[in-house]
This record gives sequence, structure tokens and C-alpha cells, in this order.
Amino acid sequence: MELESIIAQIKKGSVSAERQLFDQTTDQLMAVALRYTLDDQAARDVLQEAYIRIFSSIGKFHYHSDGETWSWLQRIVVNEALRWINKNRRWSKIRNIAPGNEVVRQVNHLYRDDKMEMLKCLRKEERIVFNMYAIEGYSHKEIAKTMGLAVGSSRSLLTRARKKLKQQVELLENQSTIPNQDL
Amino acid sequence: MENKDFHDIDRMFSDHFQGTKVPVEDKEQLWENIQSNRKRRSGIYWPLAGILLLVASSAFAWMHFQESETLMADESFKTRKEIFSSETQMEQLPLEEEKLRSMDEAMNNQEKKITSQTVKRIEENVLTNERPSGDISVKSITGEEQLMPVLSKEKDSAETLETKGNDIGHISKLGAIPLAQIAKNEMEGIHLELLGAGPDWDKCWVRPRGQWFLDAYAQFGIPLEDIQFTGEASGYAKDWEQQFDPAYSYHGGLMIGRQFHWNGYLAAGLEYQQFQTEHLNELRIIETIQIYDPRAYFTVDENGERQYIGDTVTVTNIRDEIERSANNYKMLHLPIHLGYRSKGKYWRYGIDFSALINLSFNYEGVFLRADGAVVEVDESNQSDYFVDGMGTSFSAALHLGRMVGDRTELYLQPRFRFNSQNYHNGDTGLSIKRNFAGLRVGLRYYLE
Repeated sequence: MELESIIAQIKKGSVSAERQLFDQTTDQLMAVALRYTLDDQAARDVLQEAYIRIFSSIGKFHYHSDGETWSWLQRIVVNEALRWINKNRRWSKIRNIAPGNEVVRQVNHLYRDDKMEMLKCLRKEERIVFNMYAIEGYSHKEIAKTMGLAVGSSRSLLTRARKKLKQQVELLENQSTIPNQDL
Repeated sequence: MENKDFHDIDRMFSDHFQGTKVPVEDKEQLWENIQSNRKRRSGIYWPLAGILLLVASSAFAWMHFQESETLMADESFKTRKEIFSSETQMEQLPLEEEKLRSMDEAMNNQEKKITSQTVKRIEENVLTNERPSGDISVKSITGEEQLMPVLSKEKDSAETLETKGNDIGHISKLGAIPLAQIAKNEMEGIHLELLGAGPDWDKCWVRPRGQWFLDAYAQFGIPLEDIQFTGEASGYAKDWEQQFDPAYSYHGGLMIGRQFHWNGYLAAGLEYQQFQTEHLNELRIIETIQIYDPRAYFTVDENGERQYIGDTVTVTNIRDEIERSANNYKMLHLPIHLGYRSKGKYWRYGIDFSALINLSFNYEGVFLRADGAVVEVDESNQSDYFVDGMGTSFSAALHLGRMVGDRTELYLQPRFRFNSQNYHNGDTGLSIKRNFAGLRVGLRYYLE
């Protein structure tokens, strides 16, 4: 069923339409969640909260196009991912883990992606800014507002993220090797 | 160039991740969790809303009559409130207008720095569930002014804190301790990030490192000789020069080496060299041939009668020939190479230096002695005329390579080899030193 009709059915209260939306969108939204959390279980938690938000607010959503619908869905996932990150940061302070560090757990063993692996080289804030700017298409103003940063900080984090990723890409090209997957 | 490179990076990652799908394990379980959470939350929303409304009203009434403490929200707090508002409605606790007004006022007027003392105080109070009072503002590392909420004196239970801690998107009715702590964390986080160095290579997936390689090559060289004679016989060196013509040198080798991440490399292996000279021997050949002619030979005598002489005739041919014989020098070396090679995607340039340690030396051919005799030399009498080993020679080369596969490089190296060793036994009085100019063609295969 097309997205437009699925959404229309969900607004009428159809649970099967909700399930259809879930089935059609889960895998793609999981990729979004993973880019922020780098953790399977966290990404699942994020997705869970995101779908709860989606279904509770879909009544107010107006369908214009599939592209806009995907953007809306992804933004909800991004917001939930940032919420998870904030929660995780506070948790890390209580447990006396130095801020800025994070435990990077094994990403979905079914999923191996060289670009995803490169994102692991970035610090958390750099990764969030890069994901939001380069992939999600947020502006620096929006990112700064969302993360509680100055616009200048957002720009500098993006620049640093780009430099590190560029280094990684060049290294991979020059080595012409199968990468070391020992993370 | 940088802007273009950065846009390329953005596009590379954006194109890659747009539409990327990651299979979700156990989708059924996820769906069930979503449904059960939705039911649970809808079931408790109204009662919870009622309780919170009651609590909010009580707190407002209490706070309205408190003069010493003011609850202010900082910019970041407001911003955090907006974080969790998507275009859809997020659940928020309503804020009293007066509180909002006081927040705005505080934001516009207050400019006090938060000190570590204050933060420590906050930390302690978080742990003891008591909160300090007083207006505090934060000047972040980036220079951005942020207002910290002033915390009320009200005690709170750990349970409530826990609850509020999970509710970080909302202004708590009873204060904002967790937010102060979070803001401090954020500040520290930002501070650390701005001081951050290069990529955290321990976490990084692709790191600069060396590569092992195998190298196979063939080389063709032209000897450049320097012949001297230290003995008494005059013209010996000249005879030697005339009679011995250097030909060509052929090399073939196999090496194993390591290319380091800084593009230098070290390699060693085995190299076989065969060097030929020609010995030119001038010969005068006298051939006497008897030819049998069936017609026979007659003469006619004075009486007109044929007189039989014979049926053979002897013919003598004299000719000069140059007899060429090849003399082979066969050597086995241990090459040790040290070089530098740029690692371009397709083309590679560099320089190479090597030492060749001679392991064995073998000669088959002739030897011209000072007395003019030409003698056959082989293993049995080699040591009478040649040194046992050739010692060590050195070479230098330029390198030009082209990647012909993911791991294979084809290269050319014009080389020059310096050899100060004399090939000949000191008793012979003959000193020949040979340098070589040559061209190497090789294949390098990177193992990792």
C-alpha cells in the first residue's frame, strides 16, 4: 500500500495500517538510529520511542509527498536519538565516566558498512553534527538550537568531522587493503 | 579546494546513507514492545495529568509567596525544551506565565559566572537532595552566555529527582537540579571537544599502517669495466682488453619486505646474477684439400697423345677466423633494499638503495694468462685465477611504478651498481672492477 493511503488508514484507526507502516519503514529508520547511537540495543530503544511518537502524532500530520513523509519520520527518530544521547551522557556522569567518552558497542553483526565504521572515528558531538548537517540536512542554526551550542561551535564541529572523515577515506583508498575489522 | 573536498565528503556520505536499510532483528518483539508501551502510557496519562496538575498548582501557590528564590530558565534549557518538540506535539507541562516572565528577565539581566565552587556545591546538593539558592549564570567556553536555573531550597526526594531526571525535556515544577548538572556536563563536554585532537585511532577502523609485500624482478645490465694490470708483462692488460669482450648482465630476484606507513620500506631476498664475457680468439686456418675429379687430368705429349697424370688435385686454403667463446660468471647475492615509495592511487614514485652481499661465485670459461696461454677454467682450478667471493656491492635506483590491480604494482627501476671488488686472484696481477648500469622490471604484490 502506498504511504499516503497507509497514513489515511492509520488516521482512521487501522492497526493493520500501523503495522504496514512499521514494516515498510523500520529498516530504514534503524539505519538512521544506528548512525547516532552506534549501538544495536540503543537503536532499538530509540526506534521504539520514535514509533510511539509517530503513532501518537500522526493524526496531526498532513501528507504532501512520500519524501516529506520520510523527512518527518527521520526527524522524529533523530530527536529520539538525541534524547537517548542526552540520557546516556547524564548517566555517564553519575557513574563517573568522563564526559565525551562513550562505550562503542558492536554494531549489528548483520550490518557491516565502511562509512558507518568511519563514523565511529568521530567524537560524539562531531558525529551528531555531521549526521544532522550532511545527511539529514539540518541547518547550523537548527543544529545549534537542538544541541544547545553556538552556531560557530556547530560549524567547527562539522569542519573537524569532515577533516577526519576525509582522512579516513584517503587512507582507505591509498592502502587499497581490506580493512581491519577488529573493533 | 577544501570547500569542494568537504562538499564531496558530505555528498559521499549522504549518498551512501540515504535510503540505507539495516535489518532489524526480531521485529515482532519490537512491534509488541511498541504496542504494549502505547497501551500502558495511554492508560496512565489522564490520572498522571491530574496528579501533576495538582502538584503544579500547589507548587505555584507555594512559590508565589517565596521571595528569596526565583526559578529562572536559561537559554540552553529553553533550547532543550525545544529539542524534544518535533513538529508534532510533545507532551509538556504547562508553565505559569509569571515564571516565564521571570525567566526572561533573568536571561536579560543576569551575568554572573558559575564557579567551580558553585558547581561543586550543586554537585554536593544533588547528592544530598538539597539545593543551593541564588542566581547563577554560566559563561560557556565558547563565550556563549547561558543562564543556569537558580535552584530552590526545597528538599526533594531521590525518587522525585529520578523521575525528574528522566523528564529532562520539561521544566520541573520543583526546580531544575538535573539541568544544572546536565548543563555542567555539557559545558565540560564542549570544553573537551574543543580541545580534542585528531581522530581517536584506537576506535578507528582504518588506521595508517604498513604492508608486507613480495617482490619479483628481472634486471638487464651493461657492465662498465675498469681493467688494470699490476704485473711486469707489458701489453697484458691490452691483450686482455682485446681478447675479452664484456657482454651483458642478467639478474633475477625474489624479495620479501615491509612497507611502513610513512612510505619507506625494507626488503631482503635472494638474487641470481649471470654475467657473460666473450673471449675472442684469432685463428689462422690452413686447409689442404685433395679434390678427386672423375674427368682426371691428362696432358698431351709431343706425339699428340694424351698422357694420364692423375685424378686428384690438392688445394690449399688459408683463412683467418675469430673464435668466440662465452665465459660465464654466476653469482648468488643477498640483496638488502632500503627505499622510499610514494603511495599514490595509481602511480608510485621513489628511490631505492641496496647492498648486495655476495653469497657464491662461480666461473666457467677461459683465462688469458700473462704468458699468452689461454687456459680453461672451471670449479677445479677457479681459485687459481679468481677470488673466492665478491664481497658486497652497492646500487641506487629511481623508481616508477603503476598499480595494475588492488594489490599488484608493476615497476621500472633504472639502476646503477657500484662494485669496487676485483674479480681476479691477486697472484694473476690482473684487476678488473665492473660497475653496471641497468634497468629492472618488477612486480610487487602487497600481502595485506
